[in-house]
Amino acid sequence: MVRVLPLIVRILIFASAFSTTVIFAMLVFWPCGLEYYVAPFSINPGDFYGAGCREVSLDEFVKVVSEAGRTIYLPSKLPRGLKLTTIYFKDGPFIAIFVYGAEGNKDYKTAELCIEISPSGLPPSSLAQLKSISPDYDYVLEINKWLVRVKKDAYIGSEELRRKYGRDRAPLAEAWIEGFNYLIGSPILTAEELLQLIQSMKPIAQSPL
Amino acid sequence: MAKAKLKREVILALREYFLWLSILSILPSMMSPTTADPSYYYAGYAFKNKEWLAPWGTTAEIYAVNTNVPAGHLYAEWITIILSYYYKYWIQLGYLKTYTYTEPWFYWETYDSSGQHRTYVIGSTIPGHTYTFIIVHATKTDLRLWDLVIREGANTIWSGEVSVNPYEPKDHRAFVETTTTAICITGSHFSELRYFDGRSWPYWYTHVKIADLPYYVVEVSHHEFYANGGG
Repeated sequence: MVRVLPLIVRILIFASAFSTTVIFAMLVFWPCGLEYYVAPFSINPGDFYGAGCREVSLDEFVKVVSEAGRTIYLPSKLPRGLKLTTIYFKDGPFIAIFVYGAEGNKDYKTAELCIEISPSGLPPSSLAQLKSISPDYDYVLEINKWLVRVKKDAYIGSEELRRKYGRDRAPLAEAWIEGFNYLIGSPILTAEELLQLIQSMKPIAQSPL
Repeated sequence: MAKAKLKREVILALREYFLWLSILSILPSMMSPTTADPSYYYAGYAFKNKEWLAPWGTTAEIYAVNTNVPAGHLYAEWITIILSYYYKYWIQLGYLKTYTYTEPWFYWETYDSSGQHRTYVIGSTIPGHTYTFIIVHATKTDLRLWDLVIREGANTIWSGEVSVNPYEPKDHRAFVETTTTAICITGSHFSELRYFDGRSWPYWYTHVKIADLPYYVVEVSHHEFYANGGG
């Protein structure tokens, strides 16, 4: 004999299961109260290639920088066989992306190491201020009197990098050197290797790389 | 006897509750807006400037277009401040419409090193109206803070503050973006493109036009364009 619950009880059971699902969905999709969180899909602001950048030689880049009376620093020692493969440059506003690879990859979107250099409009005024805005960074320090911070597991927003390296976290270093902001990222290097890389940075004319 | 009957009924009730729970739990994932295709198409302006520094604020007036969106897709019209091209970090403000919406909604989005990829929808637009979107650095001791503002005329519809690391701007953009060329963006209109120079808001005075086929951009000036095509 099959036992069936009374209809009213079954309706109540459905209502409670429905309420539980709705409450759960609200907790997931409305974490900030009034704002509807929609992270599952992605909007994408486009890449550097479509922003009017051009590929330049190191000599050309040195000329542009020296004409502006500025100095750019680059690493003088690179680990794991990495070499400078190319430079993408956009002037106005000034942005340079130095691409490094062990096997000649020139695509900055999938490169093993990239250094993004741009003039800093608002650098931290002191190590104390940098520390105060870097609570989730693993190293906040001075190297060669430059302010530096490194995060071991910075989030990778780039789908191309996530796909190639199979991870969504990688080290990210940031340094402020003589009026420029240096963003240094690499999915293959460690945070400590990035620190050593910054330590080895020399004015571009003196850099053998 | 009565105790055993009660026990059986409780077990039956629990079984039915969990059965409904498992059926209903599938619903949110079915309703969740996801894109079927990761392709992106753009029409609009990239910021071009003669200045050495990237400005610390950008603004545009954007006309709200309501157009059909195929299942699994979306379009968005936005202004963006790029924080990193390599790891892809940015601050974005604009409106979007996914296939699940009947009209475009305002949203803001940030990607930064913290991994908090956040996209928040903050209210619906009225198609045919023009809104002003502003992203500007908050210039506070906490350098991570940026202000976001949405206005219609002189009325502020929404304002908020976001915190990002790294915080220094690298570049600016103003685009219509779609995830399929089947979306017709004709009628899209960006005007009053301005940047913050630290004291005032001058117009963009040069630009780089970008349009992925079948979309095209009609340039009115450095600080105004129409984007059409698709569908």
